[in-house]
Amino acid sequence: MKLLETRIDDRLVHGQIVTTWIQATRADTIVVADDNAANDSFQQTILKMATPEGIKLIIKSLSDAATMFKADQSNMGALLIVRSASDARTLLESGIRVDKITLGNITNKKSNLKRKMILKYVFASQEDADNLMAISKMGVKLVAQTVPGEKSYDIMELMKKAGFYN
Amino acid sequence: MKIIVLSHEKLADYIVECAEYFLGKTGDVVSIGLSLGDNPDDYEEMLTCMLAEIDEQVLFICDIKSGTPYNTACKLSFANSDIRVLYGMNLAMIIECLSNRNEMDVNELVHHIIKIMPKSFGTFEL
Repeated sequence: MKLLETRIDDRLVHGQIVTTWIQATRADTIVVADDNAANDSFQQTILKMATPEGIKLIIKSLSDAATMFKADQSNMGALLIVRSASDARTLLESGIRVDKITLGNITNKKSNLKRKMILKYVFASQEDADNLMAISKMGVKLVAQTVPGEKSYDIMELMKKAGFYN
Repeated sequence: MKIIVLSHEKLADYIVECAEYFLGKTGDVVSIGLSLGDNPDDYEEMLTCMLAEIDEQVLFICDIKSGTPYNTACKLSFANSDIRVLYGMNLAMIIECLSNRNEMDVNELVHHIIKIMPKSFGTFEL
């Protein structure tokens, strides 16, 4: 399976993903690597409903997704979505290789306002900063972009400007 | 029946405002926008709390299929046959729903909307 695009998005599969990223990448598969979704049949129903006809949807836990990617030698083109920087790091540390990860939406939960606003749609905490730094050190380019064609931002530059790595 | 219009950004607020321009202020329709930067779990929690305060039938009218507003509304309607969800809202749909909300129950209204909506879009031809 070829990972055509990897995205961190706390809304997982939703309009932006299906109307733009799938078309731009010509992916025929969406892989959601998320421990919550893998164990929640309600979430799975929602994710399936949001996936367009003709596009395959695979929902796996992080560890099962890692196993699957290593075993799958097919030419299927996939759009990989994870919910957080920490999940992205976990996947990469299990041996998955990607050149670039796009952010997506990372937002602040009211119950836990530890994240600082970096962009309108990207908020980051110290924990996110540590995870993003670890990802960057593995040679992965981190960019923020809502939809293809929109302005893209270098995440590490934004994080430095926000004072995270001083 | 409680009508709750859900959209990305301010589309819901403005479409309801326009519908009320035609119908007059209806008072009991709610419009909620989901903005870039809003947390989807908080959004779901907010709608869950809202539903807990409502003891009539609920019709969610959403802007577009597969958007987070629609996905969330569907999740909330799973366990409850008194909650229905429409997507693909346009001004005609909102006006039609508001006009009929006291004459039909939510299932009748959804059935009616699905039947007549094709008439709400088209092209002019001599």
